[in-house]
Amino acid sequence: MDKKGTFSDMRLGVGKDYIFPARRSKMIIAGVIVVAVVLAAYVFDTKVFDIGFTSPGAVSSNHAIFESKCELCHDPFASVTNSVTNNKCAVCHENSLSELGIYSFAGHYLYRSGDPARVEKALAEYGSREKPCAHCHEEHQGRNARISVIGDHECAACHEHDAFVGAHPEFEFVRSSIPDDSTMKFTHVHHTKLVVQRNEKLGRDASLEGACQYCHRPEADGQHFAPIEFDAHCGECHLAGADATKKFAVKDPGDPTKVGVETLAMLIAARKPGTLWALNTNPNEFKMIGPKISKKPIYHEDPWIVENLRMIRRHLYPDQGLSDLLKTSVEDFAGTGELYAEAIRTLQSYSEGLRGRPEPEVQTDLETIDSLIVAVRNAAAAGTLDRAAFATGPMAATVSDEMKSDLFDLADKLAQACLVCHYVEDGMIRRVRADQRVFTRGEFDHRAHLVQTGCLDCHTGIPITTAMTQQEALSQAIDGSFIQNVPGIDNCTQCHAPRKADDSCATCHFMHPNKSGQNEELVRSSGR
Amino acid sequence: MSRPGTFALKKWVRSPAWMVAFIVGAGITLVALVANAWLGSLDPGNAWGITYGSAAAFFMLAAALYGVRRRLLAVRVGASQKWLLFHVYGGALFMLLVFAHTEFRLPSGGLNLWLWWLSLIVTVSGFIGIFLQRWIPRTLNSALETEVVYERIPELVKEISGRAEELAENCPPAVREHYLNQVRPNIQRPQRRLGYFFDITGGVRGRARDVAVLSRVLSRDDREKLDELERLYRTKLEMDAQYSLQTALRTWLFAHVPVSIALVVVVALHVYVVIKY
Repeated sequence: MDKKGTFSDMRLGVGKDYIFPARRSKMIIAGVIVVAVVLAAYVFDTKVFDIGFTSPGAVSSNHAIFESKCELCHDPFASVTNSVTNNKCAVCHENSLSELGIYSFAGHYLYRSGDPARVEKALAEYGSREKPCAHCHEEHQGRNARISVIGDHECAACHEHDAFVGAHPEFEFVRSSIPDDSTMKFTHVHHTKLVVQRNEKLGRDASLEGACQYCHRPEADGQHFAPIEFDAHCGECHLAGADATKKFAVKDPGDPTKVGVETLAMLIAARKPGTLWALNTNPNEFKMIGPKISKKPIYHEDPWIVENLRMIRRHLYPDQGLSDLLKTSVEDFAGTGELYAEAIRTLQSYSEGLRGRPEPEVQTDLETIDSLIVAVRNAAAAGTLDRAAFATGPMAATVSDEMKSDLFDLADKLAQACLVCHYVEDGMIRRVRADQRVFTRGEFDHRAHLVQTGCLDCHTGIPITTAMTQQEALSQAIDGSFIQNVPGIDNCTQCHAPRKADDSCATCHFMHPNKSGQNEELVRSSGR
Repeated sequence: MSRPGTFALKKWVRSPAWMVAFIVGAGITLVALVANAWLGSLDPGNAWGITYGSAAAFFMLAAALYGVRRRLLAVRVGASQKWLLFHVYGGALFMLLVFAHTEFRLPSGGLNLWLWWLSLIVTVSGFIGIFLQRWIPRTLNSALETEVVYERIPELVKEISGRAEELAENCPPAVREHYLNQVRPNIQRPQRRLGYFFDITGGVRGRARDVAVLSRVLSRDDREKLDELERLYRTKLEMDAQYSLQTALRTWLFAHVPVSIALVVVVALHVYVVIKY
């Protein structure tokens, strides 16, 4: 028999076909080869190809450009559970001059409240629950992952309402019965009927929805509606040229006790600040009927009426502070910045009228105005505007009761055309809140909803649909502008519920609500 | 002997105590998972996930020590049997912890995928090895008449082939034709067949079935020659069965050990990457 070697010291022959057991070292060698392949892949990845071998998954497309540069986001050997610190994210995302930061928790605590005290209070209560950016915005979930989409459980870590249906509280304006404080007289039903009739006459969309959108015109983003403006929405019917004032007695400069209005000629002659408009007003608009004067037509924000109302107020309230620069009253809903902005516009109109005058005292006044404007702008930037500057002092003690009554009566008559829609108090037209944000901490996208439902399916506070067929007008209590014609949460939960339309927190709420404040100017100014 | 109506674990496993320990370990892991899902989220990177991973690494290393125990450990600690049992049950628990660590789904990323598949291959090959080591000897003993030393199978098959060839030359034409067509192609060298794993005796019997038909038409002398030929063929087929099953018994470790070596190194690399980033 052919032999294959020998066995043992005895040199016993081993058959050619004998199967020698496989050597165990082959297993070790095979294992080493597999290890070498894996290590080679790691070395090539880190030194040559950057294929992300050690990455736990592809990063989202927004970060893909530096996917192979781990240290841009990860602090090496920093922490096992979180090596992606907020500072790393802030390098690109927190490019803001704001102290609070746009993506910070402090910014979230300040959400639309504008109340810095909330920041400290919330920090004390929720500070221990704050998580780093990477905790919610988890990367390495694949190229198509939307890491800005966060699950409700993250919100529920601080907010006890972990579900929309059943756990979310009623909306605040419903819960607190907050009225629409637009300080206007407006009847929806009456106006809707008129718009429908008008559209029918003009061959346009005569539906109720079309009538709604005659005034409530969606903005480009489809989310909100543009504020109502007189010229765009009301001017076609109101103060269209046929309105005239009553006849007013003319003020006698020699007799301060005589109550009357200032004529156009008197205003031009006096050249008071803010009366430059008088030079461009057609004197034919005024008609002297004996010793009295009337004006026709009346414009919206008619400068002659506004100036005379201002004159009346100055008579009644000598100390008005900066509110003397305002056309309408100071209301709670008006932001301090908004009031100062209007005051500055008035001052600027004053300075325009004075610039052409060479008198030294006028030039001194101009310098004072200019420095005032600069001071206000600086204060606005520093957040130190003082609302108290708009406080009105007490009524003049020297004005008799009879004169007060005459002055208020004159003011009401002057503002008679305005009183159709506006309220006048203390000789001043009340400021109108043209744009009331009902949701203070949530967002509502009208466009997304109007595809599937109509305006009047949700806005049922005023019975427009049923009232359209009624002849008699509805009472103010049912059809007043103060009615908050916005649905409560029950309306929303009909569709936004489990297994129906999206009911996650992020559908309506932003964790980082102020990121629109990170404008391009800030980016450029930082040198990036 | 167990009382009627009671469950005897010893009937099913050799070491009930170790099985109980494994069940307790698995139970603790599952309870931790439930608590994790309730209190937090399943995430390989949070404290829970890292705990699962660390525990898995511990069991993996401890199980790996069985392989190097004889070579590296100067002092013999514990019986080899206990080491083997810890290797088996610890390895099973390791895989459960890996699943917990990866949230019971396929991980993403090259290194993580390598790690997951290596873990699975090591564990599954280990289970297959346990099964083979229990089942093959028992099957070979009970189902086959022929006992043979694995390493000598080719040599013995060669001898059988030679004897069959000599016998067939003196057989009648019908038998010779049967031998040339049916038997000779299958008797010259050892052949491994997967079918023996599923039906060892049927595989042998099925191939020898044709002979029975032929023996009815032969004379007595020729029938004796045919019987001898059939006996040689049957013996060869049983050797094939032995060859197939014993090969599996000897080579399954080549699927288990190299992969486990790679697993240890890749785990170390994974730990380094995790700590670094």
